[in-house]
Order: sequence, then C-alpha cells, then structure tokens
Amino acid sequence: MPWWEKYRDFIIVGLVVLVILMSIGADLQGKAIPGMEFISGSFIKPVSNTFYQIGSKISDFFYSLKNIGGMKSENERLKSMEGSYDNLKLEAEKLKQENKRLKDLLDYKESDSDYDMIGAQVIGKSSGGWFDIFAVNVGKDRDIKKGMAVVTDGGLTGTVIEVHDKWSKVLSIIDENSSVSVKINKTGDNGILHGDIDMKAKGLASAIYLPMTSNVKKGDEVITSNLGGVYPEGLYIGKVIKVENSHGDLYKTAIIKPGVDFQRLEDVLVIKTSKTGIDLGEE
Amino acid sequence: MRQHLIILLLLLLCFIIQTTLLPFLAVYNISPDFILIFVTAISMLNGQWEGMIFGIIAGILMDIFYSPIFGIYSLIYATIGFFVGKISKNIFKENPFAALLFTISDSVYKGIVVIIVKAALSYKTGIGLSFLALSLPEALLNGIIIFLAYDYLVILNDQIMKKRNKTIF
Repeated sequence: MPWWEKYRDFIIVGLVVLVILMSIGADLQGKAIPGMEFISGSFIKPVSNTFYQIGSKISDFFYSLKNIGGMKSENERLKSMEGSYDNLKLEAEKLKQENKRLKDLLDYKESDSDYDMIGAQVIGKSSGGWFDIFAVNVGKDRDIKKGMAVVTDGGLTGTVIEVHDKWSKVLSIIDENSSVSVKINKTGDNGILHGDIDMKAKGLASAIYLPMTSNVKKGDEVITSNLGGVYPEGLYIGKVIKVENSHGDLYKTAIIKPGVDFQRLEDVLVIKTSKTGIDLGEE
Repeated sequence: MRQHLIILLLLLLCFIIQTTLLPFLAVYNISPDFILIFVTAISMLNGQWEGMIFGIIAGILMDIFYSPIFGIYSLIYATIGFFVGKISKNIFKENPFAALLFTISDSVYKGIVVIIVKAALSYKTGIGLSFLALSLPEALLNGIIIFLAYDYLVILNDQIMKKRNKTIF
C-alpha cells in the first residue's frame, strides 16, 4: 500500500477544490462553461419561470388578504383625491403648453427622456440575504447587454451584470456591491446609493456622501444623476425617510425607501438605450 | 443509476423551490437553504462521494444563476458534502440530533466562506453584522428544518435506495 493510500480521499477533494478555485479565476477573466448555456436556458429557465409565477401569485393573494382591512379607507382617500386630480390635469396641460412655447422660443434641445425599453419577467431570485441577484428571461436573443438598467413601475431596480443566451443576471440596487450615483431632485445634491445588510433587511438603502451644506429633508425624491454613466439620468429611485450626519460630520447620509418592493418583483423593464461612449470594461 | 437520477431530480426541485418560492417567504432577509439541508442529508446517509458530487451539481446551478462570480456555491456545497460524509461515517446515521448538529455547523461554515469571499471581492460589508444578522439565524432555521424533516428524509432515502437492489439483483 503506497503511503498516500491513507490520504486518498483528501487528495481527491483537494483536487476538486483546486479545480473550483481555478474556475473562479477563469470566470474573473470572462470565460463560460461549455454546455451550461443550453441547460440553463432550455431546461432550468422555463421551469424556474413557471414556479416563480406561481410563487408570485400565491404571494399576491396573501398580500392582498393582509391588506384587505386598509382597502376601504384607501378607496375613500382616492375618491377624495379624484376631485383635485381634474384641476391638476388642466393645470398640467396649461403648463405643458407654456413650457413647449418657451422651449421653442429658446430653441432648446430636448434630451432623451423616452427610453427604448423591453419587458421581461423575473425567473428566480437568490434567497437569503447573502447576495441580492435575480435572473430575468431575456438575454442575448433580445439584444440585452451588460450594464443596462432594469426598472419597474416603482423605479430603478438594478443593472444587468451577466448576459446569457436566453436569460440575464441582474444585480439589485440594494446589494452591497451595487453603487448608484443619485441626485436629490429638489436640492440637486449628488450622492451615492449603497446597499447595506442592515438596511436591506428592512427594504431600505442609504445614500452617502451628500454634502454637509445640503438641505435634503424627509420626503424628498431621489433620482439617478447623470454622473457615473451607468444609468440613464432621471430614473426614480425612492423617497428620503431620514437624514443622518456621519463620517465625522463631513457628509450627510440619507436613508432611502426605494419605490420598488424587492421581495415581490415580478415584471420588469430593461432599458435598452444605454449611454454611448462609456467603457464598462467589457468586450 | 436510476436512484441517482431520482436524487438529482429532487435536488433540482430543491434548487427551484429555493430560488422561486422561498424569496417570497423571507422575513428580514432570512430564508432556509434547502440545498444545504438536502446535501447534508444525502451525504450523511450515502457517504462522502455522493454528497460531494450532488453538492457540486447544486453548487454549479447556484453559481450560474445567482452568484456574482462563478465558484462560490460549488466550493461551499462540495466541501460540505465531502466532510459531512467523511465525519459522519462512524456515528449513528439515523439520529436527527446528529443531522441537526451537522447542519448548524455547515451553515455557519457557509456563512464564513461567503463572508471571506465578499471581503476578497472588496464588498463594503460589516463582517460581524453579516455573521449575526444572516449566518446565525439561517443556521438555526436550517437546523430546525432538518431536525423536523430528517426522519422523512431517511425513509425517502431508504425507498430510493431499495430500488437499487431490485435493479441490480
């Protein structure tokens, strides 16, 4: 019996670990495993998609059961708002006309406010709080590219980090690895939105590096800024619910409640007009 | 061969449930890890090699779909499968308390590896906080689930493995 016979099992598992570690290195250089595209796109994706839809329906059912008590009061509140809505609509129309007239006078060039978007469904989401990543059912077949922004009706949701043949991987904005350059809409202050484990559990995120002189207040709206170049400008993110001083009082930190319910994502939109001329370090 | 296919299908089911239904049920970001529970049980009952192979398969799936870089989950589940099978060789395998102990230590190990990887990828994350807020509750939850389900898993495994004898002999 050779000397290594006693350690055979450990040698094998050591080799396996080595291969996995090497594949981590290979992945960092952007290589893919052969054959996995087919299995993940053709088998896992449809099954996962179906199950996710079922989960979403069940969740919706219980969510509406939970909120059934609040429905009556909400209905009354909405009815009372309906009256003022008509006036608001007229006023908005008037302002729109006026705005257009003044812009024409100034020969003002409108920036792209209409995005080219594509609808997608979430097919699965990482469970547990370790990583906040979800997969959507559009990929290279629908011209999705790395770095595109993903939004829902509630606002900015994430960014595409990996594109496969039939699906793509999206990093949520509340993941700790995600940074979004944001702007407080009212005051125009720039900051960086960061995910945080503690905040994530409550469905919140924080915007750091807001200037000390900023007049940011509770209730202010937060949108993406034109800095950074990853996200289109002016996408809604959420509302400020608290302002804190931190970092030895050099910066202000705003706690933000995102408009998106990250636990109950279902239909999303991928914005296909990504900015040109910015190198994301890919391809 | 056939019994391994059945286990593979059950593993796929675990993966699908974990990534489609469980996220809706998570409270404070804590949700159980069915794959870890399943791999632990397979490894305890059938030995380290099956544990490691099924661990790698589940890990590759998790890596492809839901990890920021490839390899984190494969590494975790493969080593869990191997070492649980190896260490549990000399103990009474049908004991749910042993399964509870193994699962809790597994989950804590998983948490430690993920935190190390996150630190290596320069995530801005609090190490102590992730451990207290994510790893420990998840470990307890996994432990409770395997403690309650272990008897059924043993019966299920026996049923699947009985078919092996029938097909061979």
